[in-house]
Amino acid sequence: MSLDRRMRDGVTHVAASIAPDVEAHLTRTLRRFRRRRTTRRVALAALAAVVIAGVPALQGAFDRGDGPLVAGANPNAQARALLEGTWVSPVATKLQVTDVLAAAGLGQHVDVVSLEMGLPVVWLLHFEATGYRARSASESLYDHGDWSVNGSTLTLRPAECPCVLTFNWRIDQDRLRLELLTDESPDLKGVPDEAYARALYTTVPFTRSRFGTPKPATP
Amino acid sequence: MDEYTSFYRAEFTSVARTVHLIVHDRQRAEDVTQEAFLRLLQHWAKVSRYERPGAWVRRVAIRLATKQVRRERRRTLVERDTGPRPCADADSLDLDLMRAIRSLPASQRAAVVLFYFEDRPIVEIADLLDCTESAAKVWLHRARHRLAEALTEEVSEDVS
Repeated sequence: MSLDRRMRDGVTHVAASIAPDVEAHLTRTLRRFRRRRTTRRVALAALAAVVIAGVPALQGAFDRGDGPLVAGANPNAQARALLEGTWVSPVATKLQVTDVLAAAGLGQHVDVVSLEMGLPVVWLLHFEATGYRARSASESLYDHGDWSVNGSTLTLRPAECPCVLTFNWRIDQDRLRLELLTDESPDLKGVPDEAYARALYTTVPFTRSRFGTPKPATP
Repeated sequence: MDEYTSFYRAEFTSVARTVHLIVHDRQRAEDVTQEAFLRLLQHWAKVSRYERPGAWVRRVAIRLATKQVRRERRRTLVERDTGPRPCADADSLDLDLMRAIRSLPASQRAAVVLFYFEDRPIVEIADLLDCTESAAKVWLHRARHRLAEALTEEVSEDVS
């Protein structure tokens, strides 16, 4: 049999075995659409309130105690400078991740997340001018891409995904704490990306590392 | 909204099948397809006026799928064991063929799926993969030769 014939027969056969529950997907899609629209409205209303009240939107950049910002300079550039470098977590355990995911209503995914992330684990976050990397101390790369800061909001754009993650960030006594705001990534094997993002970035605070920068990982 | 739901019912399965052949995971294929149709709904007022709204959602789904494949490869760095999930009637499927397709890089995988499953000409493959025709041709050429080698099959020369 030629390759062409085998390919056509093979893929057609496999595809024919896929019969999704379209009505269930349609219902979920419409529900997600309404939820996203509501979230966007709330976000716009909040933004409008901030602008109208004149509250500094860059609160996160000004509230920290580790390094005054220079008057007149670009606050986002200064905030970015504060984040640049390597941040290391304490050992994050499955128990801690369980608490975080349960609080977010994602407790049912903890076993998969724990297995895939190899818990317990020490995480390192590296922010530099060319991008960010999140990896384990044993060199496993979890995430990498572009990042930006706008006031108290840190935005990550993973290189391998058409998605955006946003966090509220603050530094208390040299400890970086991240709080997930939004994660628009599609689910992975039925597990919301939010579960991975919360586990990796929000379970434990990160402390600035005094040591070298991580080597670029090769996927 | 009625127009959208009719479109959804008519197109979802077909897009999900194409995505499944790229990502090789039923659940993930359905997640990706749902995300593509959600994005379609967000742009429905505009896209519904296009001549082929189906091409729009298919392009989004394929792009999400290929990015998922690349991302999956990244994630395998931390996974312990996430081998392919068996299909419902795995015995009757050409598993060697599926393994060979699975070993291809994301772009080549998408190109062979569009060529063999959707029967698309190069010009449409390039359009759906958002690349030049020559790039699509190269991906398909490399993919066919890799598959032929893996499956010890003969391959005819280039497709047009």
